[in-house]
Amino acid sequence: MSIRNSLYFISAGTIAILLLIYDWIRITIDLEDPILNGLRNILTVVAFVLLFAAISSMRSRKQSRPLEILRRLVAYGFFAAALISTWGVFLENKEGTSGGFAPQNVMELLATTAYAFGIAAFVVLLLMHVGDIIYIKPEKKVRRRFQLFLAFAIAAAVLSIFRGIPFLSTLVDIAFGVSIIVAVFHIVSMNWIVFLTRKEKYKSLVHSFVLMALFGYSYASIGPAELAGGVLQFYSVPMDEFAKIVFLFLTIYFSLAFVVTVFHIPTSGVFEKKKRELDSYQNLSKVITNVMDTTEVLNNTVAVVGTVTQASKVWIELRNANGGENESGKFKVSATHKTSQYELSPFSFDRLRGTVQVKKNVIVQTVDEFAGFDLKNFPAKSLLAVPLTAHDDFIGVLYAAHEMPYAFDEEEISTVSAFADTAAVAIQNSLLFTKSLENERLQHELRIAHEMQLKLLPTSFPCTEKFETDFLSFPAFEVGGDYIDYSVIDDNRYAFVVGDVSGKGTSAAFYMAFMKGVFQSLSASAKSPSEFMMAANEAVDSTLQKNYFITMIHAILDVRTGEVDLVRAGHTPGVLIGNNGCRLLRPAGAGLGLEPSKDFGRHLEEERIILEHGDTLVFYTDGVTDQRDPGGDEFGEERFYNLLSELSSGTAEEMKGGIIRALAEFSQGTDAVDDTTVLILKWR
Amino acid sequence: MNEFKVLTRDSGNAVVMELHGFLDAHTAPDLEKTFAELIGKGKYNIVVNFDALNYISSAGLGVFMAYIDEVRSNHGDIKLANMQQKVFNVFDLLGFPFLYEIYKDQEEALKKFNSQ
Repeated sequence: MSIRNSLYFISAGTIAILLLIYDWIRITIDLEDPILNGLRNILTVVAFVLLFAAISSMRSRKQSRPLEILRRLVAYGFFAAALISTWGVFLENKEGTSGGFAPQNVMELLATTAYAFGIAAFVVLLLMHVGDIIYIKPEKKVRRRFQLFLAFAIAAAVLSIFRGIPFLSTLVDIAFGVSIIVAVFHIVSMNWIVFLTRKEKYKSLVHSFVLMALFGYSYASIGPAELAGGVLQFYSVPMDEFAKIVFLFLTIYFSLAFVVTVFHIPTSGVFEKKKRELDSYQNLSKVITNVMDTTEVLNNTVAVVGTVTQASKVWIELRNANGGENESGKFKVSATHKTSQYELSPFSFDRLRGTVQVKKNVIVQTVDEFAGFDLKNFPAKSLLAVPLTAHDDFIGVLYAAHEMPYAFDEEEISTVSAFADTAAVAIQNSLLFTKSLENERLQHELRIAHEMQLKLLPTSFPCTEKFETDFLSFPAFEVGGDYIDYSVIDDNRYAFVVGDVSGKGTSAAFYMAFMKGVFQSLSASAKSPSEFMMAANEAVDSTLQKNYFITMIHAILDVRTGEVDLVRAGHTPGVLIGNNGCRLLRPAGAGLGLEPSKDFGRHLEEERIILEHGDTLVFYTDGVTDQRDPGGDEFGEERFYNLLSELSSGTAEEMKGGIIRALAEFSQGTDAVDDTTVLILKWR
Repeated sequence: MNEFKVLTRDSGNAVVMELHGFLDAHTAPDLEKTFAELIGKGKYNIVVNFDALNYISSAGLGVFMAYIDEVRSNHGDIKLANMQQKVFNVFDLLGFPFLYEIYKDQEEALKKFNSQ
């Protein structure tokens, strides 16, 4: 107990003892001084206020469950009534008290004091609990009016001290009347009853009835003609007045509560349903705003709609956002409740969906209507279809079917629509989330593809005492369609190849890998570059899509003589940089996969050169010359060939470094538009 | 963004297709669509005028390959005309002159169709 509480109790106790002494003097010498009595009454008021403060601050927590409060009220009401009715046991003077009661000895005086404080304590407890119940879901007005009632009741109690004076007596009656009127007219809203379930309402009915009886009895028992009333009147006139007001108010309140409960019982079914819908809605919102798994969101939605509407089947169709060309944009049953994809599979909802998309909610509930939507033998008599729309995007349809015809009313439709709206946003969010996960996965796959493709390129190129080679190859994206490779045909001959698959990215990368297979398997057996290229065209022509082609330059070097035999299938020319400057090697030849073998072979030319000391042979793909600067200008052939001439005095490795630097300087960070590959062969 | 535009007009028994701007992987589908439409209408005599085409990439070249077989099997042809030197170089490098008739002027190409 806090210090403040102790102070309240000690003060109240001290006053009670003072009063006791005064009363003892009063009955001993038969003192009846109106002024002293008036003061005494005021002191009793102070004592009760202290008691009130002590009890109310002792309560740890307010109750908010109406039935629990009712139970307590019944208990306190019962004890109060018991106290009132058993009071007379202690008294010798039990006759009628029309003349007023007065204790005859010290024992009776003590009992009177205890009794008065006991009643006061119960009145305080009852008031606080009825306050609790009135404060359950109150309107603002109600709260204020209850305080007004208390104010008038207290006013009436205080004024009652002066009841002897005619004018003030009228005022007491007015305050009494007003407090009761205020109470009756403004506490009748009784919101707490509305929120009870049907079962609770029955209980509340019984409680209200018992309380009405208990308080009615208590009120009647403290009337002025009754013994208990007389005792209170003797001890404290304001207390008596206040207790009367409170008991009268409680009687009226619980009579009304009884009646109101009776009236609310028939509607409790509807109310419970609404409450259930609201709870489900809250639950659904909670679940779907926390869950990022689309399947879980969908399953929760159909399950909740199934519970709330008591529909026999609920399912959701979603538009396929990704997937192949044929799948994209199609609608698919994505979640079911009390039905299955298998059961729904014979029916096409295309027509119904089309209408939903335009007309929002659609109810199908006659045989004709079912037939009109191509759903002739659908196993339900009512069907409600509601669009799932998120950010103005029609993403799917929520269906609820019922075995009864005309099962869906306006209210149910609006409930289902509310669910659908919330669910749609959550579904959209989870889809986006899944998509970003998917993107992350694809990025990862692309990184792997990138690493795999790097492994398809040779790690180093051959260097002998006769020649040295080096190369560079960068895809524009993670994977590319440029191909560079070499193979050792025999002790004296090496084959080199640079190729470019039309297009970029993943599809090109697959063909690039395909080219690696073609080159590695054919180059060893081919007697000449043109024989190789013919075979390669044969392979490509029968494999590639029509609008794809591959350009390739292929050369065989004989290290004994420095002879190079070279063919070019639509590829950028080879560049020979020697003492006499730059020469382009451009024998005729169409790209691989453009012509059937017969024509291809007819057009293909082979060129032979003989390398001399210090000569450099360069093969490249058009990614080099297509590189752009920030202004959009191309690096271009001329700039590239000049660069090669400048660099030709260095080693192959130095030339490679020079080319990379020059391209980086030129592009100034502009992204390459195409894969870039260069092969450098230097004859020693 | 580099723009690309295709205009078509009938000329005698052939259709002239004028290409404008940049033809690359992004704009190639536009050209594919135009070819598909013409072929869908049974127009197989096609002259492509490259006069206003500034750039062509390998994906752009692929479009011509995609339809040539179908056009020729219907006794038509795709003839190319009015190429800028730069664009012609790309075609030439790839060996397109083996596959297509390429004319300096579209009138020559149209004459060829009309004389059939």
